[in-house]
Amino acid sequence: MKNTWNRREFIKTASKATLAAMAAGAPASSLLTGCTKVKPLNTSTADTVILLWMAGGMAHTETFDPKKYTPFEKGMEGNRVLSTFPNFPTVLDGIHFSEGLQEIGKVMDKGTIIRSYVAADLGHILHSRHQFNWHTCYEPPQTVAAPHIGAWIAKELGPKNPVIPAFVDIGQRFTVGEAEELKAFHTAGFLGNEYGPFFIPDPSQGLDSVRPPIGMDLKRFEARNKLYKELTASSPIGEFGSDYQKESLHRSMEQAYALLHSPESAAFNLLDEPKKSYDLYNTGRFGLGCLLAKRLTQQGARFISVTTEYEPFFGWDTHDNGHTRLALMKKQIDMPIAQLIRDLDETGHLDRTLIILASEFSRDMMVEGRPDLKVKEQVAQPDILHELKYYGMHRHFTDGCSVLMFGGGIKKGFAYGKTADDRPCKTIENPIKIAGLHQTIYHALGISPETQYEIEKRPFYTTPDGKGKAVMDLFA
Amino acid sequence: MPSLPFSPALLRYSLISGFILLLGYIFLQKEEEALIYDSNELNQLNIEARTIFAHHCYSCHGEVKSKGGLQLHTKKATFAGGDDGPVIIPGDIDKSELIRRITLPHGHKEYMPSKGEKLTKEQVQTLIKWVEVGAPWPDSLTTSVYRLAPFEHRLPEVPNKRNGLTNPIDLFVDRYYENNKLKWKKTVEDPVFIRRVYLDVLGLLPTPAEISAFTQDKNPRKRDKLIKQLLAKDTIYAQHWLTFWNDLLRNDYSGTGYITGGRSSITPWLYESLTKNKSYDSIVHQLISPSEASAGFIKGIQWRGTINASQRVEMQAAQNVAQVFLGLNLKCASCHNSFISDWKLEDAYGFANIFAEEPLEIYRCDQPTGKIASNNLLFKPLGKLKVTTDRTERLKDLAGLLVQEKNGRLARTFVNRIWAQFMGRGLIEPLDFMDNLPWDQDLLDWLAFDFVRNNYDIKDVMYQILSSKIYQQPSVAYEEPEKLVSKDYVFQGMVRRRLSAEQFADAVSQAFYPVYTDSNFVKKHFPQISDLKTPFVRSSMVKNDIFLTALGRPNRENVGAVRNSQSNLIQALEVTNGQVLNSRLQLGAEKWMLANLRKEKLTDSLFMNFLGRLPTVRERKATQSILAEKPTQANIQDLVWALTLLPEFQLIY
Repeated sequence: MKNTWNRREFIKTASKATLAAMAAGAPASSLLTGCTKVKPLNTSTADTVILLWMAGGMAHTETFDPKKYTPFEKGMEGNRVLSTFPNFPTVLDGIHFSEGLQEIGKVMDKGTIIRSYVAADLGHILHSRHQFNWHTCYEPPQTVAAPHIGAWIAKELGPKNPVIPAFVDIGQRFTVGEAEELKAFHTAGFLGNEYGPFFIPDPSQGLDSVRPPIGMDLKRFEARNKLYKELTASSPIGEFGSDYQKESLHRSMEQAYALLHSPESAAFNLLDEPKKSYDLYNTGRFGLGCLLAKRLTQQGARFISVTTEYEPFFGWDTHDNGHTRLALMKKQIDMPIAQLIRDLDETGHLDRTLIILASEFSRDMMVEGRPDLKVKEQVAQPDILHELKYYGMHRHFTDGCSVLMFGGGIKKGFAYGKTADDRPCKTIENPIKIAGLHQTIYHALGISPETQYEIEKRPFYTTPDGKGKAVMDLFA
Repeated sequence: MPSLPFSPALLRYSLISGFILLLGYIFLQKEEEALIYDSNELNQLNIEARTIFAHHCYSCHGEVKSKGGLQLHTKKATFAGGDDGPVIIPGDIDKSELIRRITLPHGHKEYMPSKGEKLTKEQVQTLIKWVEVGAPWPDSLTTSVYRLAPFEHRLPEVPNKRNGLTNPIDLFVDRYYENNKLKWKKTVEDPVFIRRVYLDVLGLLPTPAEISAFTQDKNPRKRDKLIKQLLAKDTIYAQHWLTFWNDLLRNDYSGTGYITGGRSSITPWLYESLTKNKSYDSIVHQLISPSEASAGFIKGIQWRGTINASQRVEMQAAQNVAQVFLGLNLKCASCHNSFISDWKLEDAYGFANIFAEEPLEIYRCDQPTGKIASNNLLFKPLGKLKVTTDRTERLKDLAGLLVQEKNGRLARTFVNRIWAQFMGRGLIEPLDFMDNLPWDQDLLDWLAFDFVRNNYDIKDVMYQILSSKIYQQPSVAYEEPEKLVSKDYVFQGMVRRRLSAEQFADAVSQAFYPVYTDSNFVKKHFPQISDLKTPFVRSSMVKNDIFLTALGRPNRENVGAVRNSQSNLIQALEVTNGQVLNSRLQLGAEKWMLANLRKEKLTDSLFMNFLGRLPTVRERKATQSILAEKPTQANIQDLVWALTLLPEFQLIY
């Protein structure tokens, strides 16, 4: 394929139309042999996905699937405690949430709660392995580098607006423990890094990623780019003929320039947000990540992940003080998530934007792993609680987790699946596993369940062997 | 071969693929003629048909999958058909559903194959012909539908010296050129050659002084002399080739597995092996029958918890040894019988078993089968392992058998990799699929034989290639990267390549300001180095970061990661406003300010450093527009930034 636009004209106008043409004209980049594009499904219900990632294992019984509340007393039996918070009724009949999630409770008429996600059995638990499994749908290690779901979506659908990278990853830093394991799935893997994540570790610094380097004004930025173009045009190497390396370099540089220069890049600037709205979202980095996700969605993002950030023993990874720390976590997520849904609903974007809230697994006070498949315990949890620090869900539980979905064709005001009301509070109705969840997301986007590429002469599907079915009950 | 008989199905196909009716008419004329095949021809036709099934259908209709109830991997299953009945009616192509499906227009929802590559016209014809003659399928068939490359060495005769060529490589290429009606071009000029060979051997740019000394040298054998000099720079050479070997052996300074001790670095051993130019057979031997220092390769990567049986560490060892050293993909067969080769689950387990402390139970698609694996060396000519329960002994035995001189596959796999490093594409592609056909079998076989004859001396095979005339030919540009891997690839010369992430970073370090310094150096992996004594750290000796990742350094979780020579937006953003490059531009500009150069002199110096030449009139004019008479820090940064992005800087041409 050959690019046909006129470079100078392109830069002068940089209109959405030219950019779209550019995106369409970009040649297939990778050397994946025999790669196949399965025809997209005829119908899609979503164009954009926002993943709200509750990193570290969010206890279902303390959040979206509360059980009987037992207040803390010195000397109480741990086994008596199913939830450490009271619960309240949401706008959905018969659906209660754990205290501290009132705002999300108010918008449940716009979405679906799934209470039956069952995480994979991966043995002795390491969070990053379960996170790898959630994000790639494969169990680590793999013989080839498995792509993140965001990379699959970027590969299949490309950017929605050519100046917004197709896969934006907000909030995760890679200076934390298990950083290497986190990197192993924050990647496009064998699809090639052009489909990989565009990282914005700190949403308040998002603009820095899409504007000229700090300390460089626009005038200088333009002059610098002009110099690059003139030198390229006058380089004697031009005589050696055209090659794909050179062409792809020019094309990428132009895309980058267009992005750094485009009006849409203002979407990355959170300070442009009216103060009242900014304040609603500003519960910290996660809240601001939601705000950035909203702004990018309104400008045409394809896949955005916003995480509470995984760092061992922080965030949702409560190995102690579970009760106290969960109160803080809920404060961090409740308003921004509810506001994100309200705002996108108001501007009409929610119709075609699928928002998913999920976590790698749940937690329980007593059970590590799952009831019939216990794994090595990582937390000493006394049977009798004498101190408040033991009051909480400190063990990893894989047999029942909550997932929320909003928009993008998903039913409104719907509850799916069920966990037992007594310990172990495990899934007892409509279990859904990762492959089904992924296929549900792909279905909403119109990406065929058969999508696969050949790598090392073997087919590699979006979900292992193409298994897993979209849960049609979830769609309106 | 007899002509095709006429049939409606064929007509349909003919119309679709643009055949003219006239052809059909001719076939019609011949319909009366009886088609007589002897049994050899029928066998051949059967193999051709089954080869098509294997390569295009098994992934959905094979042993592992049976979409629509249809499997095509055995005679019984093929003729049993799918859920809706038989798909092949021998002798009747009109009633054969399979023929109907493959002759539908592409894009039709019932067209087959629905995935993967479309069938070629010839393949469709083959299947039609096969069904037409009664779909012969002998019950016993010894020939495989998959190509298995010859195992042993072969010493092809070197073509006679001619056209002033003496290097055997050139003589083979000359004959290949003649057969493909290609012509030699003029050898590249000195500046192109010196830059190319510096980057290829040492991973660095030649300095302006080195370029000038070289171009002025009147010695007619100066290129040969230079190659030898560069290959003798043991340390710099080793620091460059670390990248190649780290990618190949998935060795890195950080990565998954280290966190729970599920992985070991082999860096100190590797660095020493490269510095000393350890022979290839020793390297392989020491990786398979390792000391503690080289144990990381077969140890594999495990990051806690249970893993899929096909990824148990013994199986990782088997897969990686096969892929890296034998160019053989066992990954399919480690879960179920392969549908891309004849390798069976039991073969993969048999090979993995050699690496195991206890005999392995065979798992099929992660389910135990109750069968216990028995050792299997994969290639019969390798001989037999001694019976021992001692793993260390067994691995020593295995290593010895694999590096036997007669193992042509071992040598061919490696020389093909080196060829690809210097020439931009292997004689065989992909590099890990050594059962594919090379574009010149004689050249490959000769290189491999010569390599062994010279005691697996790695620098020797490098010298052999670098000193050839073909290495000194102008690079060949491709507008589409896909052409490089297409089936009808014809070798024309060295393929233009892009600097690797490491070469790019090091070149910037050389030409302007260190991208990585002492603080980035992963000292503990290089106990041999007490003091680097260099102004910058080679980027092969630092942890991967966002900058190197963007430029294509893989995360080394898997062997066989291929680096992409194509640029993309993530990369462009990283070099445009990423922190790594920009901070170096700032620091470098501060330093360069101290030299207090006027703009002419500054431009000249930077052009010399980055491109090895002075600016042209046109280039000088372009730089004037942004440079102050006494360039500011910002001026310097911007000019350098533009230089780093020039294709002339970024490509090995």
